[in-house]
Amino acid sequence: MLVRKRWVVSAVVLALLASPVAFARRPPGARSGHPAPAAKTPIDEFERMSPEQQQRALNLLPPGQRQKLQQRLQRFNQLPSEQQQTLRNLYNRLHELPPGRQESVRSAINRFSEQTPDRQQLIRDELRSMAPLPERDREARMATQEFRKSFSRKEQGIIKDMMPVLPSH
Amino acid sequence: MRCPLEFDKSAELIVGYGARTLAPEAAAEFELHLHSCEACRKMAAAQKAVWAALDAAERRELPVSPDFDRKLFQRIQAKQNRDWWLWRALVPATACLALATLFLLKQPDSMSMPKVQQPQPAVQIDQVEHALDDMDLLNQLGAAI
Repeated sequence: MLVRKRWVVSAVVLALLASPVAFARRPPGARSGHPAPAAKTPIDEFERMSPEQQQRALNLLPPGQRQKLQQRLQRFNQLPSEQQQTLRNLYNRLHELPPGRQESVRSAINRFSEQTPDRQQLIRDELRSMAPLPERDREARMATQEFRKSFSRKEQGIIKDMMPVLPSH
Repeated sequence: MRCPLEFDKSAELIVGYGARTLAPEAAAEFELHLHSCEACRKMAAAQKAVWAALDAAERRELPVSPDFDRKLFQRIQAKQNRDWWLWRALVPATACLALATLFLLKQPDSMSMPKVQQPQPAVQIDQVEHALDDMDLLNQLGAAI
């Protein structure tokens, strides 16, 4: 009886581990708290495919959409390698988050893009200064008068919502 | 002679006399009896009349259509032709049906043959699209982070 129970528990655990839902939309390396440096995005996985496999995957799209995707891939590959790596890291951190928080980050970036260029630059500078700080210090910084005076409530919300994609320490 | 009407085999005797199948002695003896027996005479006369009528009918020729034989052979030939065409159509049709059945019975086997699985791409193309969407979005932050 005990042996049978063990088998059932093992089977359930294995089924959960094998379930595609368990790790849906999570990039490799996202299972642990910190993404591995070599974590790959779907773009990297696509690039690693053979030309035949790439063509077969692209053929699933209508011609117009296919061409647009190829152009976007080309643009991404033409970015400096350092910028590509930064985007990969951001992407992987974003995809470590639960879907609801991912959407909050996306929404914050959209609100960020609606700001004037000089305000955008101020927000970038603030995020850059917060990036190396531990989470507790970031919270403390956002609670300061200086921070509250420097940014409107909307901008404060943008910065707060973007926090999850900052590197964790 | 005792009157035949008085015993059970009278009918056989009278019919045999009319048909001339009696033995000569029996026939002669019955004829002697007829002289003295009116009832037997009447019976014998009736029998003779029946036989005379049958003889007359036998002699008379029944009218037969002159092309009776031709029509008969035509009908026989037509039936044979009909049967021949029936078989001629039926045999190939049956053969076709048998072949079709055989083909259909064989078909599931070929259908159930393991198809050569195309290797699945490592990543779905829509995942690549979504990743590019996110990359474009994140790229708006510039080198902020």
